[in-house]
Amino acid sequence: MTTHILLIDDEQEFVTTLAERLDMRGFSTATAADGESGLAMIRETTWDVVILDLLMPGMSGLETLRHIREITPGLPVILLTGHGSTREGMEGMQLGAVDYLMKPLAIEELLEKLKEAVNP
Amino acid sequence: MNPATTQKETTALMGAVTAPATHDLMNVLAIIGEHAGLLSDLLRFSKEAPLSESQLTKGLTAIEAQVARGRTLLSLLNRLAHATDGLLTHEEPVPCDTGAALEEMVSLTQRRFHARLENPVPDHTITCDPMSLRLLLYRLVELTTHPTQAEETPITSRYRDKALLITFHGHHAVAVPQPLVTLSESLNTHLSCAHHDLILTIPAS
Repeated sequence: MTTHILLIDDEQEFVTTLAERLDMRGFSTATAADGESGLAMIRETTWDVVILDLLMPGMSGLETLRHIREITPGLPVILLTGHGSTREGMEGMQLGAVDYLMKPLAIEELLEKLKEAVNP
Repeated sequence: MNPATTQKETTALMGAVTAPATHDLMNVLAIIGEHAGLLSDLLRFSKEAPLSESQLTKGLTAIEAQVARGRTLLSLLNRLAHATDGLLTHEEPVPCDTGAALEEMVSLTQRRFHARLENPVPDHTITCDPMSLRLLLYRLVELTTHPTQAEETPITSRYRDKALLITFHGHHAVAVPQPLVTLSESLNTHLSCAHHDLILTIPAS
């Protein structure tokens, strides 16, 4: 069964390229450029996992995560951060994210986290 | 040290400016990594259909663009790091290029405040404490940021009567806090408000 992944990140160049790489590995992906449009897509469609950037303009990643928890409490969310600090990542874990990864990503590590998120 | 500026404030400024800039650099590396990874994937997964020239060109062009973006960020960070060099060898104050300082504050905090220089800032060197000038510019960018960051804050600059006028085109009526007025006066600059705009006038030294 295909795993449906929603990627939310304002760095369009990054997120579309990552989506293309995940598609090549058999995943079905879609992207959103900010928290608001990501939440709209979560309300409209069923997803298996969300990959969410923490630092975005407008609605922050943590705020977006809080809304995701309200809309679909069980939806696994993996956080991405470019921060040198892991503080926001830890805060996200407390809000219910299943894991967090630092940018730049290692695709193998992301695939492992996706596997764990979909098959806990 | 400018008497209107504390060591704590200028130290905090360095963190506030370098944090969003280094986040952007992480993104630059992340994008380069993904494009390089995609080219590698295309070679690996498309054995029957070899990597096309257009795929290769697209990937390499994207990587070159990110290298240029990273170089700009690093140049600005390096210039900021050298802003206080004169303080080690000279008595305060030292000559400061206001255009360079504004470009640093706007570009390095772009991710955080979404401000944008509408035109190149003319050369205008004044004699002042370099970090206090940057603190003032940073605070003005912060003050005129859109409340939800949904819109960019345009910044324009022009000369009038040998003074440089920098206008921060805000999104709401701005009340300038007294500490900022004090800081501005300590640098011999002048702050004024017109509708949603905040204007910093920097006379020649």
